[in-house]
Amino acid sequence: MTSNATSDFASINARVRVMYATLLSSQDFIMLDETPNLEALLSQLKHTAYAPYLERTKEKELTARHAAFLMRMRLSEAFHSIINGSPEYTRPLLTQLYRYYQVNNLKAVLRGIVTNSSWDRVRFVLFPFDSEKSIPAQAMLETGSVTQAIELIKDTPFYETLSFAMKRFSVEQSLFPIEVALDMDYWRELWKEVKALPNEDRDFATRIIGPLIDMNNLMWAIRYRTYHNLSEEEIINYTLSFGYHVHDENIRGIAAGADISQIVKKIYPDLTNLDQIFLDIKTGLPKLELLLQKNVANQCHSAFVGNPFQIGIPLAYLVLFDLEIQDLVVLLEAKTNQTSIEELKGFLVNN
Amino acid sequence: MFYPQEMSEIEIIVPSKDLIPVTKALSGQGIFNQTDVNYLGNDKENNQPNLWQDKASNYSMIERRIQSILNSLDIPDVSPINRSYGDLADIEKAQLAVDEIEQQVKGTVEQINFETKQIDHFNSLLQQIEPLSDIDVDFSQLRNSKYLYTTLGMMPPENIDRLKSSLSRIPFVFYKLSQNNQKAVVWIATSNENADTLNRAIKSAYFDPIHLPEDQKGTPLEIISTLNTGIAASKAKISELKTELAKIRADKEKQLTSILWDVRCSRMMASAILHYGRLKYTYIIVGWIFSSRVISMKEKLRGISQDVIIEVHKTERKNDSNDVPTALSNPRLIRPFQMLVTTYAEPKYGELDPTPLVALLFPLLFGAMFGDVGHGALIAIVGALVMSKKVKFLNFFGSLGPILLGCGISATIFGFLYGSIFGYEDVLKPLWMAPGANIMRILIIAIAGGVIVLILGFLINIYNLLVAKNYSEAFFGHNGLIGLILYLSLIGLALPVVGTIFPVPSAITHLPIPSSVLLVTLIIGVIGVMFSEVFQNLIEGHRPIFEGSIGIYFFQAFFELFEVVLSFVSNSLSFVRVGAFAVAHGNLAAVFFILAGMFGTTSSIGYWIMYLVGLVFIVGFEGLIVYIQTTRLTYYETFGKFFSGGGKRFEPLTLHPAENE
Repeated sequence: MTSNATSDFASINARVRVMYATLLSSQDFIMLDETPNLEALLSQLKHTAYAPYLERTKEKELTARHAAFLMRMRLSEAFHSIINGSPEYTRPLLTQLYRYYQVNNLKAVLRGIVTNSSWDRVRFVLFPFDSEKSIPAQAMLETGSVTQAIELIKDTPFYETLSFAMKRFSVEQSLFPIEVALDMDYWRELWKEVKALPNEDRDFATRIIGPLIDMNNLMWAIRYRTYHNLSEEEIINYTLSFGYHVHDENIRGIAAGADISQIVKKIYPDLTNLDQIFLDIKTGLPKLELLLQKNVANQCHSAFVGNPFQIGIPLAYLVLFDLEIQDLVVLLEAKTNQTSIEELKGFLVNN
Repeated sequence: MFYPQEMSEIEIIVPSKDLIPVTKALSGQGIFNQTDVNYLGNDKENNQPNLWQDKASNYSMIERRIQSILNSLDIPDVSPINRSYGDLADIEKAQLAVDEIEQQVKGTVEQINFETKQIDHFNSLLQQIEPLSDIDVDFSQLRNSKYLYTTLGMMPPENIDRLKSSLSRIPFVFYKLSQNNQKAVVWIATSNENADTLNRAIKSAYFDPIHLPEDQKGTPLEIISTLNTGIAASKAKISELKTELAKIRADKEKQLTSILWDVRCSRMMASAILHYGRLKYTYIIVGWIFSSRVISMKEKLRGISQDVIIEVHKTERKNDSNDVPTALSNPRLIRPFQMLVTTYAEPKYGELDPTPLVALLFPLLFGAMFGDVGHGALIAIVGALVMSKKVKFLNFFGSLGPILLGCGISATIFGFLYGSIFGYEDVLKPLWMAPGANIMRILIIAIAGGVIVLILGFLINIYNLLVAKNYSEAFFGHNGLIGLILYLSLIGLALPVVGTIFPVPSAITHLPIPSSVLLVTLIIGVIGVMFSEVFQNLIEGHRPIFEGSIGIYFFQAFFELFEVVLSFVSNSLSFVRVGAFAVAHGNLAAVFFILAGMFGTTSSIGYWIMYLVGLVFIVGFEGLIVYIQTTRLTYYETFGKFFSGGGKRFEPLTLHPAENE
């Protein structure tokens, strides 16, 4: 730890730790889990840090989807606050992490076009960006054509990323090549930004971003093989060659048809219940993903122990916040569909 | 002149033998508007097919084929004005002639199309090979190889390593031929039996194959050269074929044009007859004809056949005469202004044609707003040039020429009255007054002018309604007599107040009418406007007299009165813009003089360049704005008072294409 790092991270560390304290506790989640319906859940949420966001709209107009949109506003503001308060050299990485939601918005808009959805249906699925950073989502949706919509983002880096994917789209008329190209580009750039950090920060950032990349890459490879039945070559080309604990040989092994459970056990020796999960790989995959997300969450929580003046802390907080919102969205949907608490717990990272 | 042409409805029963000459006679001189009575006289039980339907579609088909040939031969489709028309063209004969010419033209045109497509194909190949231009390899040697499968294409550079990894279980050769930030041109080869694996891998690596033409050999540069030679050869071939077409054109142009017009006239004739009613041996023709031409038409038809039966009904100008077509009839001088009227609405048969008023008012308002001898003369010159049709680039003004000429002359006259020439206010002595030096005066005169125009609008509306025997609306409509009484009373009472604020001559502000009389007429006007619906119901005998409760009626009546008074005020004040623009015109010119002065003295080029910019701006931009304002005053403030429109346009039967144009 250098004196430079101390001065660089002193302020943001304090700020993030305060923010970290506002994340929902296990006790909060138990109370939210136990609410009987959506109305009660929203009412309970109004006793948390989300209250000012949920109160931005009339109670009558507050649907589950709208509430999720408003809660994401808090995450959006957290990103802004952290990016602006972090040392200059860490901002490209934080900004790239934030770009994840732009990629998701773009994918949601393109899906909206393909499924012929109205703007009212799509708008609250999108992550709330301020206008200058957002893609022209409504205008894109209103073109009614993926090709024309992509022309509207000609001035963004997405356009270049999609130049080859669009040729495949025009032949196959499927969003798959577009979405894969966007995802691959996003994670490659994120990893590049991690590697561009100076030594110590690179290690701290790798500990947070690495498990995220591992989780995504591993889940892609398993899904492509079990759900999509893709060939070895395709799986390799649609996955990343780098990772933290998940290495290229693991991915190639999965692609080549090796025993997935053995590979996963080798990568994550501490994970329990893997045998049960792999009894039926197709139904077990969501459970595996949840386990990996919990593993990511644990990694993030551990970042707050030890050296306080490092990039891992803001990164960890942002990832944890995202996982919390993800859980809340699951809760909102579950309460809307009257799902039981027991069933619900199988889908929550914070249970 | 003040009303549309007087119309009579004419019904004619024609024996089949006289059908063509009678139709031809009706179509002459543009005085007969045909009514579709195709439903009349059809023998429903026998329901014989209408032969004219087949004839019309046959003519139409031949016409389209000829047009297509004309298009291929680049012959303009223009009408021979002096050519007469008479009998129907012989379909078979025309078809034979067209078949023969089409045969000659078709082969050549198809060859041209083929060569054009060839050029497009070569160009698209060139586009694909372009990235390979600096690679000195003959890819054609690898084609149709017995054991080797190769592919050439572009891909994202960041996918190269992953692609190589994905191919690790098969033997392959990978060459990166070139690369920039966005794409790498690569060549990959494997054994034929691994082609499927390779294709799966390259597709998932977003590889975009380049398809080299099968028939081309050599290095990319050599192929590019061959393609360019191919393009040049195709162009030469096209040029040769076009010479051939030019020969055909020279030989056949007259014949083709002649057949086209015969066929076209016949098609128009057959289409017109299609709208006639049919009996077994006779046809029924119904339509509208100018009343003044009924006798001459009767004589003409009787001259053709004594068996023709004609019945004529004269049509009165009634309120409900909406079905009668409207043919505006104005002297040649003011006819161009009809366009301004019909753009707003087609006058009804029973209402006054506002064209004479527009012909007077429009240039007057324009001139008053744009008064300048030089600028006005320039607009007049432009108008004259548009009318002459000698300057092609002015053709976009279309039929606006005479209107521009009128407005330009008016602006020139006002220029003398204001003493303004090309923006110079001190060269000419104003015959009347300089607007810039008499701002309040010109504004008040503009409003006074507006009041006169509005009163005129009221009077025309009352007259229109009286002629149409719509007495309730004439007396108690908001733009009828009661509205006029209220408007005049308000003006009479407001004038003395205006006189205390603005410098208005006392002869105007102090009318020789006692204010008590004006108060009485005001009360009559207020009551009349508030209860106009009641009075109208009483006159027309409609019951109940009050709709809804009396309380609500009073409430509505009050707001109706408020709205009417407000519209009187806004309509009158709207004319203030006439004075405002007259002042602004001089000031705008002064601004450009100041700007010109910033570029140097009057002896410098800069000064005069700036002056010219100002001139163009004033004549072009300000002229356009004044035109728009004049249109607004005419349409909304004036027409709104009396002109309802909604008439049916008179569309004379024409059988000669030239007449149609």
